Amino acid sequence: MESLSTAEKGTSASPPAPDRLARSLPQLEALAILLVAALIFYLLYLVFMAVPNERVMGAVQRIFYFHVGSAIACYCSIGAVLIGSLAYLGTRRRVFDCISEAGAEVGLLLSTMVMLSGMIWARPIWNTWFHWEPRLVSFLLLWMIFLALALLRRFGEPEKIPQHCAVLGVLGAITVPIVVFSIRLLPQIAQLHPQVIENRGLRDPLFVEAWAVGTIAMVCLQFLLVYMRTRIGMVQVRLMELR
Amino acid sequence: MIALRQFSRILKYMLLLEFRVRDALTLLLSLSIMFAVIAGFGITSASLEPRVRERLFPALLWLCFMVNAAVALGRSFEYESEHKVLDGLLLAGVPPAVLFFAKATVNILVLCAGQVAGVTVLGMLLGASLVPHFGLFSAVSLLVIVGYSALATIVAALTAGARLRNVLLPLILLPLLFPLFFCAIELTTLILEQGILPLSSQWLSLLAGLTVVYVALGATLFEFAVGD
Amino acid sequence: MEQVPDTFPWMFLGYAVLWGLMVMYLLSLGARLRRVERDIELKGRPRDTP
Repeated sequence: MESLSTAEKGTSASPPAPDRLARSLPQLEALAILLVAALIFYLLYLVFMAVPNERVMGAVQRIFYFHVGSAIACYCSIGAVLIGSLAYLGTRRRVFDCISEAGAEVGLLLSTMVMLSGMIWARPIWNTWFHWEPRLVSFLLLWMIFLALALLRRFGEPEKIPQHCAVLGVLGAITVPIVVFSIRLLPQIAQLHPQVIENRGLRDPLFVEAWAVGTIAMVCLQFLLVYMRTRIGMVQVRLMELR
Repeated sequence: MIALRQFSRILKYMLLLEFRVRDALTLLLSLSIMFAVIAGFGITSASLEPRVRERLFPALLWLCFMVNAAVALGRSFEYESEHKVLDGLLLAGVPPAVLFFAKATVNILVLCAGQVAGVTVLGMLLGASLVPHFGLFSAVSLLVIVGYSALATIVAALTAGARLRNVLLPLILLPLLFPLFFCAIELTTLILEQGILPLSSQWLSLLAGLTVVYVALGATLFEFAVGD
Repeated sequence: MEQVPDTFPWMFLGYAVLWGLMVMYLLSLGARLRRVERDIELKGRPRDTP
């Protein structure tokens, strides 16, 4: 009697791992969305109900918990752009271009949020919307790099957009640490931005908890948004191929 | 050896093309002079003291250079893009890195000419002179121009076939150039105020490092910018 | 006792901007997804899996 291959053995054999993963994907996605939503709601509870008022800046300091998390998530986004771009240039698989595109788009959103929330926080505290100090300038340049990626994606040569955006992604991502390093050398730009974490300024444990939850929540949100945007991008690519 | 021969032939062709067409060079010289005149007029109207004008000179000089060069180099791949010259050269077996170095060399020469015009006119109008520090300033300028040219050549290749390419190139290029911009201004200020350029200067090390990085990146990534 | 400044309106503005941007982006993602699903239905193809 010939032995049956796994495919011919009938329903008693368990399906291969990739099929199981594909079938449980909607549940995993729903679970991820629920987890991120729960983190965000917990953070909002901490920020508005638990954390005390900061004694120097008052209520506006509460922007800090989303502001810092968004800034860290931005760096994750530029990392996604770099990894996606390098992987696309190496393999030419469109999924990596979609990851790079998603990273750039989410990065632009997050850096806009960081810039605007920072400016709104700065206005009552420093009496100015913007100050030419290292962190703000380096973030402004990060925002401009994300904008450049978006512009090339929008106006670039249609057939070559994926590889051109990958090249610019690599250039932009490498520029970020160079900008951060070079701005710190500028002597006339005084450090005005609060060095809260470095100077161990979070004395109250609730401050520390809210900061930690804020950072984790925004980073998880960033990964979720990049994932969702990548999925949409992949479907658009498949549709274009079918036309 | 073959690569060197290819490089010299393609460089000769590109120099001849630039000499005949003169798009980028004309645009850069005109913009440099115009910007210098406008900046000079603005500074004079503000009635600033000579000391303040001298402090502003490096920033204005490099601002003029960065913006005008970005606009002018938008034309650098115009002819090649229109007539599919690069495609032909790549099909003929010319390595993309050779094309990159040839184009970047032409751009360096164009940018040097623009810089000479900008420094001369702006210096005359603002009463600031770099002639006593010609050697030091030339060394810094050359490093900045080489780094700038390397980055601009690859970004110009990315935007050569794009819509609104003349506007797109400066918008994409300028955020990437800020580290070079900082180095250029700080070193020029140091040269003007103290007349020295210490080799141990962090800005000089950063500038040299950036130039090497941009040239290496440009040579590596150029094939993706022009290939299929 | 030290007077804590009243910066509540600024906090409100900050959160309005942050969440406004996030909600607009999520809505735009939703709109893109609906457009893509409509295109898929028009083509009559099975749902895509990554």
